[in-house]
Amino acid sequence: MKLYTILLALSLQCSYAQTTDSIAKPVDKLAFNTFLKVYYTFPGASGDNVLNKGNKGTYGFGFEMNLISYHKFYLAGGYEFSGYAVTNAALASNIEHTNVNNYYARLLHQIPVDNTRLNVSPLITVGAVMIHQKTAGKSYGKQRGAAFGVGTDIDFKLTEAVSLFGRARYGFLYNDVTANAQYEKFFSNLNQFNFSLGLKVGVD
Amino acid sequence: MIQKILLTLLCPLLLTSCQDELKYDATVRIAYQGRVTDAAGNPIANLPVGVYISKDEDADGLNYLFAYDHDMISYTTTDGNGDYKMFFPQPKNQNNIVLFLNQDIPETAVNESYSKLIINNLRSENLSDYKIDFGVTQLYEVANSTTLQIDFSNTSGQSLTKLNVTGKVSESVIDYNFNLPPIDGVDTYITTNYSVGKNQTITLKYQTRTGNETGAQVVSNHEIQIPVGTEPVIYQLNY
Repeated sequence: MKLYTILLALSLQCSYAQTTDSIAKPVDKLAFNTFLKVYYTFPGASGDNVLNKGNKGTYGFGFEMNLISYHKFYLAGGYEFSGYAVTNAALASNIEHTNVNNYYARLLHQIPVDNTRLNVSPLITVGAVMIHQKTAGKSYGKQRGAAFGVGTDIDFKLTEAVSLFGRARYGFLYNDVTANAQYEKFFSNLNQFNFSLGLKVGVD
Repeated sequence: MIQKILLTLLCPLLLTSCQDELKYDATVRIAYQGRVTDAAGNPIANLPVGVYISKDEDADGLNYLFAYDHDMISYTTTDGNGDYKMFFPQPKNQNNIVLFLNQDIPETAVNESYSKLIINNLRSENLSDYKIDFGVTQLYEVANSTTLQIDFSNTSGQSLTKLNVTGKVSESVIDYNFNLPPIDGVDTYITTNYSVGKNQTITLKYQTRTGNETGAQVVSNHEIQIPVGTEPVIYQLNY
């Protein structure tokens, strides 16, 4: 029994030492590294396209789980919902909602700001988009396509394991739409400009 | 037990209701565009324009509780040049697509000074590169109109399936594919009394059909010019 107690104490000491070590030092090798980000989004749009000219952002949310890190690069998988209300029935049709669903992989490079709790993290996202137009329970069909994004996170550490973060991300959506040649890009090349605020839970 | 019975009874109704809902292909965007002017060719601004799509009672007539679905799928107003342009997803199971000119649409009142026009029976075959350009449509000022009354007399035993009255007509319904046989489930608009502009020639087109809907049919299209002066006109149409 005494031996078991000593072994248990040693193993706890070792695991504690590993944890504090991983906090104190950057991970310089490929490592499984899980932390969660959940956030509220203020959806926006820009450019000459139907998302910007015919819709107005209402609300959104997202979450992403970091999976792997290497040096100060972090790879995550995530989902983001951006809700828009149709404001121009001639361009976006007489439909109440345009919902943009992003499924993405995110690569982020964390840059600590000296002597502060701040990290500035440029990021890119690559993934798929599904756009669903609907009024109440009635669907007006879905569009699917590819999506890319560039942006920046700013993290502010509250504790070792919890941070507040803000994100600005510009997205390029290439959804599958066929239309008159003159207007096809207007419907198939969309640009999102989203701002998000959220919590990061877990240790880098 | 009662709940289970109610659920069992409701399930088929819910399933059949889905069949009657209009379906759209969001990956295809249709464009309708054109220009509206008065009789002198001056553009009419701020005129309500819309695209209305309907799905009527299905062929077997079983879904009487949820008999149809319809959408004013896109609408706008004409700009300072009288131009309009609307986009909408391609419907997949509609019975009728209609263009409304100076008709009720959300947020914009009808301009009562001008005539009103409905162009119905628009089809996907009419699209050119996913677009229909209706060109210039002239509406006329309805003040100081007179009347045209059409009296029908069936002397041949044929059915009257379509009737279009074009010209300066205060409220008219035009079939965009007039020469084609009528679509099952689409109402035929046969109107007998019109308010029309003075001093013009009205074109009356009508379509007749021999036989009945289920048997062999022969469709014939006819056209008549009706002069209108300043006084009311009564025209006798024998078919």
